[in-house]
Amino acid sequence: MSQAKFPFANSRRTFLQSVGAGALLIPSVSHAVCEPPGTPGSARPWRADCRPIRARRPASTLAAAEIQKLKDAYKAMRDLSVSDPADPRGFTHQANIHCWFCSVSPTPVHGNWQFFAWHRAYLYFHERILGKLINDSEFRLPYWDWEISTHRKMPSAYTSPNNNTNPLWNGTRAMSPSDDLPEEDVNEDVMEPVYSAANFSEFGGTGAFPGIPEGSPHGSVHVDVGGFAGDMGAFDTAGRDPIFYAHHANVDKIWSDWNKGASSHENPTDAAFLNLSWSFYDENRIWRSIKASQLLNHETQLRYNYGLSRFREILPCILDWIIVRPPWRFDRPVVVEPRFRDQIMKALDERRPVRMHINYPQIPLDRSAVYRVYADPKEAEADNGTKSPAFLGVIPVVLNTREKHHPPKAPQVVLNVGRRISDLLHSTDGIQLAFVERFTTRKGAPKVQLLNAKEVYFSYGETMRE
Amino acid sequence: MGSNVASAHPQANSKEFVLALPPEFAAAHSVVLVLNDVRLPKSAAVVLRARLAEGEAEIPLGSIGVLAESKDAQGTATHAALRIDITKTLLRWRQEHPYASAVRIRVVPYAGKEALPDLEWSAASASLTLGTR
Repeated sequence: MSQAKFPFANSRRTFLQSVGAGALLIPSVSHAVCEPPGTPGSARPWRADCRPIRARRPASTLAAAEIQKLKDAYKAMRDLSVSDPADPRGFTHQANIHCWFCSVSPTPVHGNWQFFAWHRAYLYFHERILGKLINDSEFRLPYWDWEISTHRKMPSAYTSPNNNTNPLWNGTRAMSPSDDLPEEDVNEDVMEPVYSAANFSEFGGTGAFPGIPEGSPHGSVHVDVGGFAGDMGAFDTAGRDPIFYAHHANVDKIWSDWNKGASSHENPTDAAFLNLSWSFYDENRIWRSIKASQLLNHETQLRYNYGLSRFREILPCILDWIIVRPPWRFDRPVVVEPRFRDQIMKALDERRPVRMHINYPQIPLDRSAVYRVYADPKEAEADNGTKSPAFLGVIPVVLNTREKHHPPKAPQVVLNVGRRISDLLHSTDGIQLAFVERFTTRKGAPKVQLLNAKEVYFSYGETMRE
Repeated sequence: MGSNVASAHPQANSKEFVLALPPEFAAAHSVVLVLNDVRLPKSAAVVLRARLAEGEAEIPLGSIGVLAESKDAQGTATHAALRIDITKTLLRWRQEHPYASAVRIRVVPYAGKEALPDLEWSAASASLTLGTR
């Protein structure tokens, strides 16, 4: 087959000349350099993400301040490519990630079941870098929801102003700001088969074949925006257009929506899929590897959703528990030295969970009861429960009626420590644990008893790593 | 039925396929047009749009976008199978043509809204694949 005669063969070069590519704000991106972004095999494993879960939102609904934040982030990323061309977080390097994985990599990420998962990982690290560059861990990419009939134009943030003063602009687009995507590429006749794909093979492909949406709407939108000669139309240059990331955020949303559509819409469980692994630079320039199994639940694993949350942040997301072990003597109050106290107070101030661990507390085990534990005997005497600043929690004892005995020793008890015990932490008298049986009616039962234990220490949750 | 697109003169490099409708067609969950052995320039970014040809009119069926490898790439890329889901439009058309035993499908290359009449490309054959629940 001979080389085609293309009607727009010179249009890209001519256009770049006409707009003066390489203008001050937007660095010139020369022919794609598709070298591998890192040294294979040297990546550190990606670790859990405990940022707050935040929504990716339709680009067309962003408020002015949000658009400005988006532009600031991409400007910072573009500027980084100029100020430090070797920084892998710069825009040129970010664009070339797609170039490498989609044009050169021996294991292509298009045309098979890697497509959705790889792009999710790519956007995740890209998004974290953008957030880091504007010092906002809550930054999330917007998505271009072109399947909505009123959102067929490119979102205005990406076209206004439609010149190189806009960090979201790309001068090679064939689609003008007033153009709509062709109806037949993205309308409901296209989308319904996507959402109703019966299984992942149909939706997301197999190890050897692509799913339906990869060709259309995904591929069609690429070509519609880039035209014959624009960056969006080619694998090696698509990442140079910031709208690529909004387009792919929508593709990612479609995957998320498909998952939610029916109980049968499950992702592959084959080890061959789950163990797919790719590497990217993170926001701290650390080369990280991430597996497909680590990103299948974008909400709990990658900390973003698309507005309709299935998971509420009622449980803290903890990376590690840090142990704080003040000196402890069996028969003395817990005196928390300043160095330990500062650690605990810092964690409390940052609203991290703080816990007190009581190993083998000496409590009556001969009957079923609930004991309220206080960090101050006087507060135990008043016994105001959760209203007390020294209230730590309860230790329930449930007698095993069949065997007439309890487990021989109450094992470790873990109580949450609230911000209200800060005064006690500062007390030079120390924390004297005491307990009182809740709602007791037994005559002669001691109201308050000091609580001894084999060991008492604290821990707090680490929720962020730098 | 989808919008008719007048096309007095089909684009010169469009490809037409006359495909028999299988007996179980009407009960299918999905209908996919499979273009086999498609050859495109590696440097071409193309949307192949499938249209149902009724005389000189064309009815949009679906499309598939194929990205260029690179604008600077040389040679031809061969795609063993490109699949376009044409379920909705074709089933609607079928309701209006209950006795039709075959369908004429025209595939036209575009780049966005621009037709590519000079693009050299080929597809060895086409077929319809039916999906059932």
